[in-house]
Amino acid sequence: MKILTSYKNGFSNTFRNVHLITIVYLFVLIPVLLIALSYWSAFRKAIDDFISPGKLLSGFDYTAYTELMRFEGDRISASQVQAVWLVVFYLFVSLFITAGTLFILTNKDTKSNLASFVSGGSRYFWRFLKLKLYFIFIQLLFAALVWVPFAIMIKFSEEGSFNEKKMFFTLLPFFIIHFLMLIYLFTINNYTKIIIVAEDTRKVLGSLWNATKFVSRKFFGAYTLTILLSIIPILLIIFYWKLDLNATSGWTIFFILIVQQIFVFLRSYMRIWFLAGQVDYYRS
Amino acid sequence: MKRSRSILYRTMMIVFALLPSLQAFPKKLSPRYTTYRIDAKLDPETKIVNGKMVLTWKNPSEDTVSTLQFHMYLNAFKNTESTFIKESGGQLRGQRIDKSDTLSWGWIDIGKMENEQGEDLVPRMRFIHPDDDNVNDRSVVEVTLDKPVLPYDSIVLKIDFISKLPKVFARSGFNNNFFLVAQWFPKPGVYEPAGMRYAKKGQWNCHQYHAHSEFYANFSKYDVNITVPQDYVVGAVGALASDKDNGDGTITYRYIANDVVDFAWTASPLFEVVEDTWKDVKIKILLQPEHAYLAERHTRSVKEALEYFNEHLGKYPYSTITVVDPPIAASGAGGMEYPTFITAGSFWGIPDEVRLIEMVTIHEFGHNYFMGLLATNEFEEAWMDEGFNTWFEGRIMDHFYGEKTSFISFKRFHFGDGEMQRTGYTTMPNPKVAEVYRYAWQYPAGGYSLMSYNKTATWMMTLQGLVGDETMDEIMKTYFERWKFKHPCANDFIAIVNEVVKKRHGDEFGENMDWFFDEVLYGSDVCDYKLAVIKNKRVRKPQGILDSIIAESDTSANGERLYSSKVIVYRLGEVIMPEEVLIHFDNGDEVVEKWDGRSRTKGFSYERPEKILWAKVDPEEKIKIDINFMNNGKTTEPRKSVAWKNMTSFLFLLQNIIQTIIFFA
Repeated sequence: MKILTSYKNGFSNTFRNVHLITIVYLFVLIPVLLIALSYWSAFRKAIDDFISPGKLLSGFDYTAYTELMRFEGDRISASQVQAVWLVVFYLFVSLFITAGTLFILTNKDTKSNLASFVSGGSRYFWRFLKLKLYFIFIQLLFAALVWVPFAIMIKFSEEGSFNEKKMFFTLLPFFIIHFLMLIYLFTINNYTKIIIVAEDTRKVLGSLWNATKFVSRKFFGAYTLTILLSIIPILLIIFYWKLDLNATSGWTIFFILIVQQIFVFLRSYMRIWFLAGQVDYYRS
Repeated sequence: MKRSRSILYRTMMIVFALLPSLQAFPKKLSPRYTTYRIDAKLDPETKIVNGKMVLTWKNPSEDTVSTLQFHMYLNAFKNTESTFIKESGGQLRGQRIDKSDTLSWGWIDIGKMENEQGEDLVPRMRFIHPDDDNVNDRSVVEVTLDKPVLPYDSIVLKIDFISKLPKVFARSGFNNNFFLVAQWFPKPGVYEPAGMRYAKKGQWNCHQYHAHSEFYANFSKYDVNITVPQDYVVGAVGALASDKDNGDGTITYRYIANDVVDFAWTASPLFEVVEDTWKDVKIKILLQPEHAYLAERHTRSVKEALEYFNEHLGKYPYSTITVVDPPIAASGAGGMEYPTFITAGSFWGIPDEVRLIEMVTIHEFGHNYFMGLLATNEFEEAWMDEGFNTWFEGRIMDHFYGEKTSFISFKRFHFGDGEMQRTGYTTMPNPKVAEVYRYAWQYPAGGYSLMSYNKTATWMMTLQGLVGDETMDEIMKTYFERWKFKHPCANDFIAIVNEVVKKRHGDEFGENMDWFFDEVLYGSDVCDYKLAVIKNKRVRKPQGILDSIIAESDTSANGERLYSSKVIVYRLGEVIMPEEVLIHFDNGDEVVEKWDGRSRTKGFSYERPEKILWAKVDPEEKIKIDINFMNNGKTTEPRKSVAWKNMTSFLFLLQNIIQTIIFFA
């Protein structure tokens, strides 16, 4: 049961890499916190000493929120724009983080510290960026393979033959097929990165081809491991959603902040565990 | 004695014999200036309704009327040159006509119009355009009569017509095998005698079909035979009197509707029928099969509306109400009203927490009162129907589902119908864009719904806030009872408001309430009051050369330190409303000051041992037309935790997004 072994090894390798988890967590915390503090300052000025925004403390109030955004939204919008740009920036930074993580995970002799992380991140960033561009193209191709037949089917169907219920159940299999394909592509994507770092190769396309062969040869194992490694992160999201925490005072706000950051930390753990598990499977 | 007993006995026999007939001919509720007998046959393949109509039109005036004017609404869909298509760009509420498909277009044509002498009046017909200079618009036709109609006399016309239904995007038409047949026959306008509404002399009120307008017609009696293929389920205005299998694959349904302003019907082989009753009202819901599981939401909404309207406005006088659920591809037919017959709208999978079905059903039912029973002129005073009805819709939804949760209530995200109505107006880009009092098609772009629906509903809420619920109910009940079946106008409603408010409140709001309507109905300015300043200053002993000073104490009789506190309120908008200002002191005491709201600045001063903690103008938020409730209240101890809470939510949200990106990197 190589899958389970890799699953467990991934967990324990990650557990031993507290420094790495912390680095990844801080990468998710520090820049975002700077934007959030700017948002806090703007929001505080917006609500000033008005009474009605206080209703937002006990829960959502449509009128209070709508009027706050209408009359003071300009103050807050700058922070919101900054947040959008941060998200765009992280489309690139995420490659750096993944590169740094894989560098530490694949090289047992490498110390798990910031220097190694940055070194690995910068070493493999451009190769991962190239890979990303290839993958965007591949994903579009796969999407077309799924949705073009769907579009043709709809275009040539009898007018009025689709109500929304029929449309939903017609769309559903296409969504499922596309989703399953995306998991396959995601798995290949990760193994390509693992190969690039493990082999320290500049051949991105070659690595992509090798990863495809690897995943196809060990389809059941690689695919199942991906799903297995996704279960706990998904459960974590559902668990938080079900908790339905609501802060109504200073202390409860602080408590929820801590709980939220624990979740963020755990998800950083999950991400590293994910990669560690796949590294172990690749090596086994 | 024997003889009188015999007479009594015979009289009772006659009465009992006539009783069933009396029940079959219920009491006439309206003037019924028009009577229609229509035979209509639907051809589902060609989308054509062939119609034969016997129309009796009674002259309601002392005038001798030599022309008749008819609405030919379906001609609005004939081509791109109609006023409707020009003004709308070929779309309504997001639904668009497919101009490339010839089957999309609709029209109506009168083949024959015969008077009682058998003379064909078609050569005497001409299209007119009373509202604009569009000579290509064919939505109003005028017939010059060979023999004028004398005062209070009637004319009977036999009219053969063909109605080609458009592919539905604006109320009437078809989609596949679903038909919503509305505004489908030549319908006379309303002849307004001198003194009716704004008429200084007798005149036709017969407007063209505009992108932003609905309808206006006489109270009538309809006797309509609808012939459809055997497998089609039919619903219509009024009550089903009989049905007959014609033996040729078609069935003819006979519907009779008395004292109604319109007749529409629907047909589809796919309808699933659900029936229910509320007291003596038969409820019929015609649902798409995929929406059948939503029947309970429709019937519940109708019952809630019936209950509320009966209690707060007046008795629903009809014996039936039919609700049509169009298919999603024909949603252009949804959200519309006809007397005793409404179209709602739903979609498969709609969550219970999203009360769109309830909102639309209650809203369209409400039109039975404002459009159907009061029957105001929707061309000229759309707000009297849409605005009053929207306000009632908010009242009903909030009553049954909670003020803050009536429209959407999903986890912690929620908002109410009434507050949605108000914020629709208060958050418009330019709330001063127009006055409410305009003809429906004369609002600037985007102004029709926000002015006639939202702003009107908001000032009705404001009026309710000012005079109180009981007075408002009396206003509406008096308005309804006095003006049902009579086509009231703005002046009539305002007169009722003045009468009832004077009776219940004396001069509390001035000589009358005309000032209110001058501001909210005839004016376009906004209302905005702001609690601008709270000042607390310790009273200190005077200092300096005090030989001629009468020094006031800086402490109270109990020796407590005194504070000189002040609250300043600004009037930022041009609209003036009487206001209350609530001042809350730090020991829990509260003072409510009344202010006429006139001056630009108003201050309230106090000298007390307590400091003012917070103050709010219009503390109960009665003046809904104030466009900014946020600046109504200020506190000396702002709650910082609101900003922290939002910041932590913002932080967590952003972290989630970034982690998702990292996960899939």
